[in-house]
Amino acid sequence: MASPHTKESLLAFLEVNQIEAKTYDHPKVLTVEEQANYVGHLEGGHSKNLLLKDKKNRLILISALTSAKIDLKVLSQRLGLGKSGLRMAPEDIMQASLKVPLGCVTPFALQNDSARSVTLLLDEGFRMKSKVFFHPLSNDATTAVSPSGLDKFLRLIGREPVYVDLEAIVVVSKEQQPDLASYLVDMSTECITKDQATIETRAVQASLPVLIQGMNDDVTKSVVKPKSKASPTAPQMEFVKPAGADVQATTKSILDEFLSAVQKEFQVTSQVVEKQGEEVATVTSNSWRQRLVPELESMLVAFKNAAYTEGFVAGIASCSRAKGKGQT
Amino acid sequence: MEDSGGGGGVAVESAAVDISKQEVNASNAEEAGQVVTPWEVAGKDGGKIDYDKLIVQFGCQKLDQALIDRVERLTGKPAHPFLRRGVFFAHREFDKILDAYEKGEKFYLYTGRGPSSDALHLGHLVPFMFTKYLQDAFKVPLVIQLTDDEKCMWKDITVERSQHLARENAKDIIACGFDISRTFIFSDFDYVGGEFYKNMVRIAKCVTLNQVRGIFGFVGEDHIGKVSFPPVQAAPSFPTSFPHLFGQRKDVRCLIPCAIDQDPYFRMTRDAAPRIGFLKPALIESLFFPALQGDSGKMSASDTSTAIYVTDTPKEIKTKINRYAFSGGGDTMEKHRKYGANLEVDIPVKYLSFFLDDDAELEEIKKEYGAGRMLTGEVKQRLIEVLTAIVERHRKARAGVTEEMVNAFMAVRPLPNMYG
Repeated sequence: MASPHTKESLLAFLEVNQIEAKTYDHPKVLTVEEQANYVGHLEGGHSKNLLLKDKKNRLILISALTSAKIDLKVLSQRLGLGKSGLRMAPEDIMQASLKVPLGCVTPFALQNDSARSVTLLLDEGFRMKSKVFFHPLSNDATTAVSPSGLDKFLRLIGREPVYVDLEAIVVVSKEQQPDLASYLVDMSTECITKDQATIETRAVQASLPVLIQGMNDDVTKSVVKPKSKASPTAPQMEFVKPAGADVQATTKSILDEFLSAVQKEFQVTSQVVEKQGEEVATVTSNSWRQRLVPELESMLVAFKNAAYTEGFVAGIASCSRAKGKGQT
Repeated sequence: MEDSGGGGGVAVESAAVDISKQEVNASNAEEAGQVVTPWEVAGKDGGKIDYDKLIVQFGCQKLDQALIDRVERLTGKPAHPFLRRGVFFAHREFDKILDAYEKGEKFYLYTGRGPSSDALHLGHLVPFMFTKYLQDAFKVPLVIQLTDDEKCMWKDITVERSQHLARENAKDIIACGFDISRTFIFSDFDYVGGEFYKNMVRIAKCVTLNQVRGIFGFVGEDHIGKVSFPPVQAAPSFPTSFPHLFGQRKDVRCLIPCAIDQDPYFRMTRDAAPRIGFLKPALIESLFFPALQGDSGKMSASDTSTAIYVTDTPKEIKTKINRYAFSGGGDTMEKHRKYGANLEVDIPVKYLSFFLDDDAELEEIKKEYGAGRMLTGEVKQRLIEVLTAIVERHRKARAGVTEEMVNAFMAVRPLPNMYG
């Protein structure tokens, strides 16, 4: 296990990755009020950070503006944990996962591998501030970064920033699902891997040879290969990111869609061929097209939008870098 | 924008309902029956809306087969089911848009939404699905207005909350599959200013207080925010409101897909346009999306059993259709086999005519069900399949929309390939 990160290693990490950060040293502080004595006058979004745990020992880091009024009962329900499913995490758990002392909870601590499974919920309100302030893994300093700097940091450590309205009173009922439940890092979010394996296995078991005749050899190969790997192993605990502009993930989605359509179509086709004696090739081709086109187009436009977004983000970053260095 | 009585699309909601609305009442006098305004929709004696009468009453045009054929010819692909099935059934100067397109002249699309906290239901998706089709078929840019200011004023929520809702709704809109290289989404609180505001003032100077009282029913007690809102929704009809897209060009036409209850509102915009040197925006208008309970039911945000939401699970969709979808089938098996189903009031068939792409299959179902050979259960089963596929696809797409993507869609940026 890697040694825990320190203030120095964190600040070095930020600098190396060109995330602008300004750190203010002060005597050790344990509370938000004490901290405010030293840095409260600085303009921007000051934070209060709570590490909470639920009955299944999952950890949730709530990082909010100091001015936010947070009702833990409401939050607990929004997370799908019932009215009293959240407690403050005890110090030993905080130490073990975030590797920071009491009074020092900060999103920066998620850099530690031990904090891999901590869910982070950030206050929406941070996004509108020019700067946001957090402890840099130590109680004797406060570091200011821009909200996009924070986002960049989080992405570098493999997380997608999640901003929510922490103050919103959302009444959970039959009609209103817990709106934050999907963010909870959970074993079950990994079922994508398991389900894909199942589809591929089933597809192989259906009598495909007839239909695959004339199809690309590669497709056959990729259908056969996963069967051997498709054992129901324990899924890793990882936060599932949207596929975005990920070519491999998109290709996988397209193939899954295709293979599950093959399965369905095989049944439909054999009925039609019996009933109307039409050519297998025409029937399959036309109805496959009908079934697949909306799904594929939807996937591809999502892919395009994600790729454009990546370019856009890079463009903005390179512009502000150029500005920062005095060039235009 | 807000939808009323089940209609999706571009709309403005107003508070007072029971004061005399000069403009509409005048034309309603002969009808003395149905009421269709941006804030109220009701059929004659609580029955169905007579759309043909509505077209006459408003003075817009019926979208005939000739126009649909022309669209297919010009775009080189089959017309969207919403056109073929008469969901989008009326227009103003859509033929001029096609004329311009044929000559190689440019036009752009404009639609919008009043961001609410409710998840979108299928009725909300209809105008966006159609707008996406128009964008893809004609390869034109699209501006989408999120009227967070309107919600802030009419629903009395904070500025910050309405801005937050705008972003949330933007994600659902993006999930409908709009092309980021041709689409600009903006919220009023972010964007109003500059050239857009100049157009708002130019428009505002053309409309009197009496006129907006007549169109929207404003009364003395309404706060002045409401009264000054209409120009905000009119301004996107003019290309100079978007200098980053169209520069100072005034000759780019605008096509607005919306529900027909918006017609009076855009009549106001079309009236102002030539007086300030702009082309009149064209409209292409849809029917109202029926509630699950049928024509007598009104889709209500507070009663989730009246609609299918994009957040519904496959199980919920199945339950809602089976339990609440109003059936035109016979009361008993014998009656049904003998007389067939009443397709006029049957909701599953109506929903299928919105969402089932295959014309041949739809005809087959109508024939068999109408003759009593097919049962309500089978029709509902097919509908459940179709709707589940749509909702699932939307859900997957929605999961892929990141905050950065929303920022990119909403960034004031040029769109160099918007006609590519």
